[in-house]
Amino acid sequence: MKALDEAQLVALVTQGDSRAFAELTQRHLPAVETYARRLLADEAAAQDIAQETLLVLWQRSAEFKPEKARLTTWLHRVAHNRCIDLLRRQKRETTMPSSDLFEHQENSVQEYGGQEYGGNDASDLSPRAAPPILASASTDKAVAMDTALRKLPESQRTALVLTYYQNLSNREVASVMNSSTRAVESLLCRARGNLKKQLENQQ
Amino acid sequence: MSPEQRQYERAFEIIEAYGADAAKWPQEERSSIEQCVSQSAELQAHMQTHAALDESLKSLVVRPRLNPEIIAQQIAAHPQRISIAQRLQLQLERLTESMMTTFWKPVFAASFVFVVGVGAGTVALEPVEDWSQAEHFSFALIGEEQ
Repeated sequence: MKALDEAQLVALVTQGDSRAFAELTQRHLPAVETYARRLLADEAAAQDIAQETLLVLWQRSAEFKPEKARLTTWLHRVAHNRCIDLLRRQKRETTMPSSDLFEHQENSVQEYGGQEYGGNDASDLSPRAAPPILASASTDKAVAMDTALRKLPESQRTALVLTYYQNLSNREVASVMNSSTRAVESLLCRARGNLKKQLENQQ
Repeated sequence: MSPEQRQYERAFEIIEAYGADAAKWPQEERSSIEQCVSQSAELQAHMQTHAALDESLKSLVVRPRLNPEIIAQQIAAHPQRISIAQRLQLQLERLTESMMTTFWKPVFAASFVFVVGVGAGTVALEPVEDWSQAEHFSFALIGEEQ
C-alpha cells in the first residue's frame, strides 16, 4: 500500500478498499486536523471537521480528480469549507444575543483561565473567546503568536496558515480559498503586517 | 520602470507576502528573486526583518491528537455513497484496463511483425532500372506466357 501513489489509492478507496483508506488517513488526517485547529481554535470542533473530511473521502472519493489537484489540496478545501460554515454559524449566533449564549461564553472564558481572546468586534470570522490552540507548555513567544493569529480576520489567517503551516503552494492556497494567487498574496501581505503590529503592541 | 526596478519591487512584494524562507516563495519566481536579493543590501535587510516574524510563527506548534488508525476503522464502517453513473464509469475504467492487459501483447506482436516486414521490404527492394525485366519476372511468377 505504501508504494502506491495517491491516485491509485483513491481509486482503490472508490472500490471500497479499507486498507487503501487507512493508508490515506495515515497520510492526511494529521494535516487536516492541525489545519482545522489552527483555523477554529476549538479542538473538539476541529477534530469533528477532520473526521468529516475523511468521511467525505471515503464516501465520495469518486469526485476527486487526480489530474486537477493533489489530494491534500482537495482535502484542505473540504475541511476549509466546513470550518468557514462553522465560523459563520458561530458569528450568527453571537450577533443574536441570548442570555444562554452569554452564559456559555462566560463559562468558556473561565474554563480557559479567564483569558480573553480577541475583542468584541464581530466584523470578521475570527473565533472570539476561543480556547488557545497551543500544543503543550508553550513559550511566551508562542502565546503571543497564538493571540495575534487569533485576532486576524478569517481570510488573512486562512491564507497564512495554508501557506506557512500547511505548506501549500500559492496556487493550491488560491484553489482552497476559491480565489486568485494575486488575492492570496495580498492577504498574506496584510496578514504578516497585522501580525507584526500586534506582536509589537504586545511587547 | 526599468526591468531591474520591476524585479526589485517584485522581490520586495514576495518577501512581504511569503516571508524570508525561499522555500515558501512561488517556485517559478524563486531563482530570479534569490538573485535579486543577493544583489541588494536593502532586500537583505528586508529579509532579516521578515526572518524574525518567521521565527515567531515557527514557535507556534500544534500537534495532532486523533489516531489515524482508529479513525480510519470507524469511517470505513460507513457505507460509501457512489452514484450509479460513477459506478458505471468505474466499471468501464476497470473493463478498459483489463482489456488493455489482456490484448496488448498480441497487438504489440502484430505491430512488431508489421513494422519489421515494412522495414525489410524497404531495404530489400532496390530501385528498378529496367522495367521490362521486372515485368518479365512478374509474368513468370503468375505463369502468364508472353
